[in-house]
Amino acid sequence: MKLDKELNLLNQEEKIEFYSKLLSQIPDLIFQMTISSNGKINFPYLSDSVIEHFELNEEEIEQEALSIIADKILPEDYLNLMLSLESSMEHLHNWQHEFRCELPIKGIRYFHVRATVEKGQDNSFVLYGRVNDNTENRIQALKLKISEERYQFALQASSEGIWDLDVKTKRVFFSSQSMKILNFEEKDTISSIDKWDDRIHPEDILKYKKDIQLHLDNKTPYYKNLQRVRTKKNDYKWVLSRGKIIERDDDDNPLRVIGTHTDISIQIEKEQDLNRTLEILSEQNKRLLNFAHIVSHNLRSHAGNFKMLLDIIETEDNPEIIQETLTYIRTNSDDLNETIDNLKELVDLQSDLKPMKEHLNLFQYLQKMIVLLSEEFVRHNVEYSINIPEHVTVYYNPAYLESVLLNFSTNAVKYSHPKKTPKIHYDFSYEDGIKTLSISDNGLGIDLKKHGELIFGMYKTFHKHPNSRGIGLFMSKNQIEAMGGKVTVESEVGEGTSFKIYFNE
Amino acid sequence: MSKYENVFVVDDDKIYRFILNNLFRKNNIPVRVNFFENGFEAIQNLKISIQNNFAPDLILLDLNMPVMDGWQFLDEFKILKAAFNLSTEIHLVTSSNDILDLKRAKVYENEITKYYLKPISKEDIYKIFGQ
Repeated sequence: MKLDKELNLLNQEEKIEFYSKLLSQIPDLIFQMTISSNGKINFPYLSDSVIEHFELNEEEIEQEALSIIADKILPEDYLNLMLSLESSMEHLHNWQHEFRCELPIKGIRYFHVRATVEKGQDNSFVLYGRVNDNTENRIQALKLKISEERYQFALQASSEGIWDLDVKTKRVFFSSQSMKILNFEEKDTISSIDKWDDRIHPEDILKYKKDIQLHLDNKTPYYKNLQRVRTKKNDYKWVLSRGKIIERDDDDNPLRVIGTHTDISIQIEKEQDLNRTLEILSEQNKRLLNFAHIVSHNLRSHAGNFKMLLDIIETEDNPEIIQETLTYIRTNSDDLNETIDNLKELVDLQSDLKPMKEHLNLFQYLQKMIVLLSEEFVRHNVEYSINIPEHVTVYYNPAYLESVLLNFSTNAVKYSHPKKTPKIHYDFSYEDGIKTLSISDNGLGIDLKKHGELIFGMYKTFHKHPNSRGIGLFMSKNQIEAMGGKVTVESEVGEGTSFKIYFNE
Repeated sequence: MSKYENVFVVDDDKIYRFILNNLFRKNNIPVRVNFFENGFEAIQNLKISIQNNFAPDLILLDLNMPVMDGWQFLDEFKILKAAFNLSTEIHLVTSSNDILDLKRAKVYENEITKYYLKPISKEDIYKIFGQ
């Protein structure tokens, strides 16, 4: 270069002045070191910084440099320093090494030495290099390392995952915890945003897209969305995803969004458990109230009748009337017993919160029931048709299924039309995917406009029939509902009645 | 003298009818009582008695009955009452203490003058017939 050439024009003295001025500007310690073939180390040149670097006192300045500096180097670092020097000389590599010194004022300092190695005459070596105090850098690096470790630990210790979205490229950094939530290998991952989004439950995806868009459009101060996410095992976890834009371009468009993933499946499950318990409790409470009402309603009149009938006996002289009263006491007692039996049946039904369910073949159960009723069917010339596929099963309590089938069938016979041959049709179908059995007859029918919802009420009877107790439909409805299903009715007076049992499957 | 002279009792409970009959007899209440097993029988007979110009001045009505219950009877009665300007009073005598029934009774407050809970006592009878 041109400058070099001009420098060459300077005389020796001028050159020395030039270089010493330059060197004084450099805070590093500049040195020349020679190592003779017998291993003796000398420092033909040491810049003045040596005094400041190693805190040399006036006495030390006068003494031989190597022994003074060697004294200050920590003994455990000295050997390594010499070994690295030896290795550099052997391979003629640049020498680079870090060592610690203990200084009177500054205490322990880290020094970094760098030098080029040249082979001199007679197997000697010459090194030109510099030493700088690296302590501040070391401390910064250490601090950074500690804080990085803390951050890593915090990430691992908490169950929260971290995500970091590059809005433009749609690529996301997922921390190992985010991957762990989805049962993937616990490893930080960078991938397309679809890797996560494709796993969000279809029912949650719209709300998620809306929530994040609201934040990207700067309409919400932060983004928050609860989503079900499919794991590697193909089940779903409830994940609370939160985030915030942390970088925007000059036009205020979002560039980077950072957020967290929290697995709150356990909380959600607990919440759902709690809600289920509450539902069961309130349902129980409703049934209890209803039952208390039924009990008081049904026992009151019987108890009252006993009192009044006994009053008559106590005050009556006419033996005929006394005899008649006794007959009524007998009737009342029988009625009371029957009522209590009915109530007991109801208690059994209500208190059996989770009745045993089994997969039952509907066709076979109906056949069994018809065998039970065969005598009655023959007596009334009942014609029936069954249209149920033979493989259809319902998940039901066996006793309830028997009782429900029996009850609707006996009702059809009991309230058959006196001028018609009784016909009963059992038809199976799927209504909106729910297994349904309809039991239709051509009997008397019920005026639903008049009786409406009452038809399933307790002790509601609609026909003058000696065996009309008004308990059957009430019990059947209770049993069907206890199985999680429902029952509906269609009827026309003189034409017939059709009950539909929905099995909730 | 009784406040009422011609009474309909509409109830399907045989024992209740027997007891009521005895109460009238024992307490010498001079009323004419007709018993009906359900609302339908009662309405048919009410129509006949109106034609004969001998409509009852009191009907003791139960709610829960087969064929035609108390409410249905009340609906039919409402029409007859308006058409023939009847002064007939109705007392509900029922074992139902269901809140729904009590609320429903409010709908018929023009027809129903009193609401008694079964069993009916001697004192109730005195109150009704003013002795």
